[in-house]
Amino acid sequence: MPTDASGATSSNAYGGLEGPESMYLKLISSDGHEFVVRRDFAVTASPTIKNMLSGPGQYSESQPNEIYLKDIPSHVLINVCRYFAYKAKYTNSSIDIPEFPIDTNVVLELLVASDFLDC
Amino acid sequence: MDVFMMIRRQKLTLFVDAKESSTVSELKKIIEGITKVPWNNIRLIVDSTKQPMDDDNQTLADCGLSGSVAKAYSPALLYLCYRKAGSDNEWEPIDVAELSTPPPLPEVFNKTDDDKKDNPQIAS
Repeated sequence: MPTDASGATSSNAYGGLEGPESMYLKLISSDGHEFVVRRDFAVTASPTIKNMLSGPGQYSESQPNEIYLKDIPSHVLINVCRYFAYKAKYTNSSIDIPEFPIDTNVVLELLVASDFLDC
Repeated sequence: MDVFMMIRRQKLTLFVDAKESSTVSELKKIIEGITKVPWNNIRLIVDSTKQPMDDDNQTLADCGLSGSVAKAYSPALLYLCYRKAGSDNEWEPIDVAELSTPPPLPEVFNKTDDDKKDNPQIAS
């Protein structure tokens, strides 16, 4: 009977939100919507998020793997999360890269968000 | 093939990817890892077919979630419901919070004619 002293094996098998190497991150929009994305997708795409997580000291973002994006509303953040997956999938890809669809109503705010996230 | 999904419940949206060949129970366990709700108290409903994913041994492809339908930039939408506390067979109703609405676009975007003067529309 394995003694799960660190609780590592079962929770790591399916990823979660705990710990410095969690598989997922939670991004919270200005209106309180929570979006959980793969950590590696977000960190690869956005240097801003990467810096928020790996800054020195105990920034509150780094502990519970939650990032409050108080300037980004949910209808924009949902497009940001789609983009993270799109970028992760098609970077260095040899197949044809399909176009990323964006609703025109969202374009301007998405531009502001992408500037903030540097991606 | 990878299947990309958006799993929504109230104010939570999970962006999860998995293999087409993985099973419903594996997906539920991934959700358990994130939400801490035991996977057998989790019910998933496919938005496009309105079918609940109740057979834990089916693969995602069997439920209609294939790589050609569920793209990275256009993930398949699934609804998440938890089992009602204290009862064995009752599930929450599907309940997803609306996203915020974008502000109206400035008129510049509505015109596709040749009226391209650079009108500074800044209120000062």
